Amino acid sequence: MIGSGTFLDVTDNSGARVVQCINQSGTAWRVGDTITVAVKSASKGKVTAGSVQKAVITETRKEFKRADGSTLKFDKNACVLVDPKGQPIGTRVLGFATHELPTVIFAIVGLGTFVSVLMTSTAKKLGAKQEAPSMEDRMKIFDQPSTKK
Amino acid sequence: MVLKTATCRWSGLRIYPGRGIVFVRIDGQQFLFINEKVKSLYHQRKRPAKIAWTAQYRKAHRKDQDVQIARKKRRTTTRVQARSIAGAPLELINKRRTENPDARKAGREAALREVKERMKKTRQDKASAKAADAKKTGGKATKNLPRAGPGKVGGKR
Repeated sequence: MIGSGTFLDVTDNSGARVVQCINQSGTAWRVGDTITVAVKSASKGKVTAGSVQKAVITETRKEFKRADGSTLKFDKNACVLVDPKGQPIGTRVLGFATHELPTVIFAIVGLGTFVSVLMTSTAKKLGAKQEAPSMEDRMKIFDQPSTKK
Repeated sequence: MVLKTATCRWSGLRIYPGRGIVFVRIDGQQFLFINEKVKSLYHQRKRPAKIAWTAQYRKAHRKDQDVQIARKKRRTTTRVQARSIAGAPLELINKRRTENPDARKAGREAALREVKERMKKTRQDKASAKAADAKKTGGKATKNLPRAGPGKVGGKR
């Protein structure tokens, strides 16, 4: 449940570290929603601190329900930056990814991320994996050249 | 339809579909909790082995032992297996076991008869030897010389 003013961690390699939601207050957003954020702190990358970006929420502390009845929650609030058209700015998602995310984001979820379990059949059709990859698989991603779609 | 139930990571209770919460920690570990109570206890950093109604506690304090032991007893069946012992090799034991009682009886009788005949023969030999001796020495009775040999008192068993 991300609302206006919420701070989120950025879990991609776009350069931003912490962003703040600057949408109008009144509603709350969940995993998979797109919000407008102001970049509060950034390291060297495509995005600079102080800029306004759009973001897709990937993790929330507030639990969210799925159609099969299962409930899921994370330990922090996190997002991934996207451009106004919805394409991800970074090339890797370094946090967790669930099948609630738009397919475009899911495409950059490589072996370097965990994918949460207890997925529905629709998620599996999208190609979501059940188990977290091993450490070797996760380190391989840093050897491969980046593939941005 | 067969239901697939999960087990609560903290309490060990069975979780039916549609229940429970999955908590994904930052390090990637997933915790499946059956309800809010268990989730709260986890976040309070309580140890399940110390809470009396959890599966871990019951296992540590050996609570369901009787049922388990009874189940084990039902399962284990003693199997009779022939083993060779000193003085009787395995083949001999198996042979004796599979022997027909009539055959055994006949064999025993035959052995007995053989022993009797052998005894008879030795007695006859002795008698004839004695008679021959008596003829030689002219009727003198021969003394039974005492046998010299190692003393067999008790003996090694």
